[in-house]
Amino acid sequence: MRPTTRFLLLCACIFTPQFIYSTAASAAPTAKMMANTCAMCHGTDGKAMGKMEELYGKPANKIADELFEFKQENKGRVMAPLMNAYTDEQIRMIAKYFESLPSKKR
Amino acid sequence: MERNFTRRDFLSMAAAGAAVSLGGFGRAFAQSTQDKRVVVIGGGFAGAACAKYLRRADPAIQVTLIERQRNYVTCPSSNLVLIGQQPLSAITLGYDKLRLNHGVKVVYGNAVSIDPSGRKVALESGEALPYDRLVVAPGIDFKYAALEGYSEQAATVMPHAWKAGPQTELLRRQLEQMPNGGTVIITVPPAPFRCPPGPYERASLIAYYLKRNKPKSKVLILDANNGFAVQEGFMEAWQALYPGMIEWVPGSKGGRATKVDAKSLTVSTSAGQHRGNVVNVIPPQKAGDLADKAGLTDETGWCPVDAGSFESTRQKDIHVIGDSSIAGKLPKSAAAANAEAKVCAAAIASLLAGRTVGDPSFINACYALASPTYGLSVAGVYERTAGGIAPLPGAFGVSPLKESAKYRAKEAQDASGWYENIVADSFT
Ligand SMILES: Cc1cc2nc3c(=O)[nH]c(=O)nc-3n(C[C@H](O)[C@H](O)[C@H](O)COP(=O)(O)OP(=O)(O)OC[C@H]3O[C@@H](n4cnc5c(N)ncnc54)[C@H](O)[C@@H]3O)c2cc1C
Ligand code: HEC
Repeated sequence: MRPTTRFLLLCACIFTPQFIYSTAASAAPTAKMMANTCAMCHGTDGKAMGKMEELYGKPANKIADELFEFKQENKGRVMAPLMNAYTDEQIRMIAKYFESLPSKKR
Repeated sequence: MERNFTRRDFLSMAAAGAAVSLGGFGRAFAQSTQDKRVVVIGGGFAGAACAKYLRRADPAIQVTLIERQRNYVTCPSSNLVLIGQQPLSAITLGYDKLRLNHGVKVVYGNAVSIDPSGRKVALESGEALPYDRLVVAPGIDFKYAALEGYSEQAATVMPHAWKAGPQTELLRRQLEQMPNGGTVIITVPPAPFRCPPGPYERASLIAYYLKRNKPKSKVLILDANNGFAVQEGFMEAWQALYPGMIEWVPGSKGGRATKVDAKSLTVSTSAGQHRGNVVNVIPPQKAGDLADKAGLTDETGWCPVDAGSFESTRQKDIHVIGDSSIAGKLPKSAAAANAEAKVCAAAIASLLAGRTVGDPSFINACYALASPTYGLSVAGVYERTAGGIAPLPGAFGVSPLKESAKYRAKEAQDASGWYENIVADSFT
């Protein structure tokens, strides 16, 4: 699929006089820690309200494929820059986390 | 009771020795949670989400939320209320769902002091609440003394509308009543302040309203700073949507307000005096007053914290989240408050269980409207760094320039999707 739009990637130094510190290479947030940050747009546990895309109960492969596409093609409105943050392994962890949530009542 | 019961919850409860039966676990918690008590002060985006996520992390923890108002009016989306696109009721929330869905105990009252050595919070009513760990999330208060002529009294004439509620309605009425051809002045305080793109979203939406209702009018932004969030995106939008209607004066060109006068509706800067028909003074800001009183602030007026747990570097067992905290490069936004709340909740659950605190991960995503159908965004993933908290290199973006109207409309739709979901994630 061809990217239709390119998100503008910037470094935060444009807005702030200080430089960005490079990340601690050892940082290893858990899958739950990372997945919980998606909730502000996709809902708690990925149970989305309104028109936002639902993540809850989706197969891990499907989520991961979509996320890789955002990352590799720099495509998608906010999703592209967000996905640049994670390693491929972390993306798989996040995708698996949503799949693993118990399929209980909503 | 609407709550997901996970295997992990079950294990942590079993570990805590809770007597659990799946049918009536709400009651079972009440007995088993006596020993670990977390009190959260302030039910904004930070405090509410923290209370909820603490209960999700470990239902054995007893969580009490202290909030002085029964209804919370969100600042996000309040600029739409300002121009009559939404009623105030659409952005007004209660706390029942936190209680019903998550078993958070909600106490309505004003927290007046904290005793860090006795680990107790005193309420205005005289009640004292003991805690094992305390979360302080009181949002912002204003530094009235930093702007000559401004006060609570002056704000009834020159509203700030930087805490949503009656102030939002006052400013809305003033906009409705001003004459065609009038000037709306917005003063922007020195950074850091709550919601970096907020003043410019407000200027945009006011211009949108004026263009349709009082087209000869103008918006004058008197800014203490020399640049602003998503500046190029806003400038492009203003050119396209409201040519000639919005004037922005940066600090270097005399934009910084030094004095205001409510009688004559004037704002003084180093470059002279400006008179407005409506004057929206966004005052200089600091951490919520309670944070000061509790010795949690430093000389900047904000609260220094550890970036992994949000524990205060000044007082043991007290965590500060949301606008009051110094969270590195995370802005003072509802999105950041929500992200900090979850990191803090996970850390407290670990600390109370005697586990080590894991690495944090944050997302900040702010949407701003240049018109009701023209959205701009800024989003990034943030991590702990040597210097605090910063976006991961390459993982920080703002809306592209020169995009189609369709793209802008999609981002405006994303903005309302974000709003619905962050409200649900924090308060239900
Ligand atoms: C016009 C405007 C638009 C905005 N738009 C956005 C947006 O689109 N996206 C975004 O991410 N952010 C936005 N923000 C910023 C956002 O509103 C704040 O960053 C956010 O509310 C911070 O949450 P908080 O919980 O730290 O503080 P608050 O939301 O202010 O909550 C603090 C709570 O603590 C209570 N409290 C304080 N002291 C006490 C006490 N002593 N005892 C008991 N209770 C107490 C208060 O009553 C309040 O309910 C906007 C802000 C403004 C002004
Ligand atoms: C600021 C809001 C925001 C945040 C935070 C966010 N997303 Fe998204 N997400 C979106 C939007 C908007 C879309 C719609 C597609 C686009 O951007 O083109 C989307 C699309 C997606 C899709 C594609 C769904 C589909 O059916 O096509 C997936 C998967 C996804 N997001 C996963 C995530 C994960 C995982 C996280 C957390 C690591 C996350 N998102 C965080 C806003 C967000």
